[in-house]
Amino acid sequence: MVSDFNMPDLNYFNQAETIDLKRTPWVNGYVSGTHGRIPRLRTIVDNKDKIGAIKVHLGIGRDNYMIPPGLYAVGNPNKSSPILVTANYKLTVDTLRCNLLNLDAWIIVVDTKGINVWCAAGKGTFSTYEVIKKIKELKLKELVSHRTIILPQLCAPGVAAYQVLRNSGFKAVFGPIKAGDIRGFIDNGMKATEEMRTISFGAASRLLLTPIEVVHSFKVLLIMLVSVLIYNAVDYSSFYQSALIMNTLIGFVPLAVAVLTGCIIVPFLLPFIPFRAFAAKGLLGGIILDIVLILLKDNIIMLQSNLLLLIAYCMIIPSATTLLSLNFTGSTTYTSFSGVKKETKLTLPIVKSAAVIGVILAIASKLL
Amino acid sequence: MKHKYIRNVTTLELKKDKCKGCGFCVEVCPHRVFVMENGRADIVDKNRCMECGACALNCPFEAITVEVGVGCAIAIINGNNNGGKSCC
Repeated sequence: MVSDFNMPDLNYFNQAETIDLKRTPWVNGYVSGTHGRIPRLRTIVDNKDKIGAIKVHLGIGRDNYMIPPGLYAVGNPNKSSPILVTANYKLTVDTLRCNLLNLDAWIIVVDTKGINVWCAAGKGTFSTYEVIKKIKELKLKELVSHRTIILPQLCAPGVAAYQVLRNSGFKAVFGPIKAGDIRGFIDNGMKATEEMRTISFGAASRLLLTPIEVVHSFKVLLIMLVSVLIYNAVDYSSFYQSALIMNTLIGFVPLAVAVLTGCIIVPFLLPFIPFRAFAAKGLLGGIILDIVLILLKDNIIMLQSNLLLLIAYCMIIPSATTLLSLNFTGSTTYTSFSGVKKETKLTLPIVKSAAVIGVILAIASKLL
Repeated sequence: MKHKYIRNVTTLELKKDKCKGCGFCVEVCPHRVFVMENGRADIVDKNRCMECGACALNCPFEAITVEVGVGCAIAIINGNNNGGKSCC
């Protein structure tokens, strides 16, 4: 392993130099010195950055939201200024730079293919190798007089600090989890408090992750809507067109509510819902929706005196909430591989069966 | 409110006899699973472990082992469909 990181001295190469200032409002000119021109990051985010953030939370252009990797500056750094390392996801860089107001520092942006620090570390793009390579190709030994770099704590699943030291001569110190704590970390003599080192997953963070869950469920919602429409249209004879549309929309509501429960309500209320397994949390939500549906069934024309279809709905709704809740494990900060594997293997066959039985019952209710 | 996930499933193991007390595991763990006690690492609450692998990778003495993986149902389902390797 060690020899993998033992690369020779590389020629100076800073991809960040190639940026076009006219198209990068997040850069505020250049810092010049021993390393030629180094782009200086703005320490405020403007409306364009904010719109960009909203877009990626809705899944628009999310896979291509990145900046060129390389060496950047904030403020007016010199040979003794700290070096911070980060990922090249634009949202990550925005979060970092807006927390560095009035700080002079060097910023090393690692090529993580536009993925955030933690996910990139897990996928292996934010790696020991990449960090050492950046130290060498950016000639950090000539840039600064000290021999310390500050890594984000969450890159640790991909970066072995002791290997960085062994193979580059730079001591890699793990900084805080949140960019907002960097100033406190530096002022505290590069010591992180327990709080800085602990990952949180508060209600605001959970809510911020729900829009993309809904966007990813559009296809499912559309299939549900079309299915209900077809169900109502099959023996559509004496109905008026408006009645068909009305029945379809009303029949779609319970299914849409199930999807939104799995995408928004369960994630938002996560720690307040009993059970540890996400599938169980989702199932509980589905059962509650089933009870509400049974109580309100007389208001839904499709379900009036159609017991088979009511049972079909009562199978499909918990299937949807359970699967979507299980899906949210991928967005959390605390679910383990072994745990998710366990509950997925246990739940998936049951969810699939329930959904299939639901669909068969719905078709049967039409034919019988 | 503190999040709690499924108990008694984590694959995290600490071989105390190999530990030299460098403290990297304590530093990198985002769920504060480790503490230093008498110059050696110890596990406080194994059930908080999310198997990210930061501790094992950063242990210079190979005292920590954990089956690393992404705790994401879709990755696991996709992994099952394309031959075992879990990936988003």
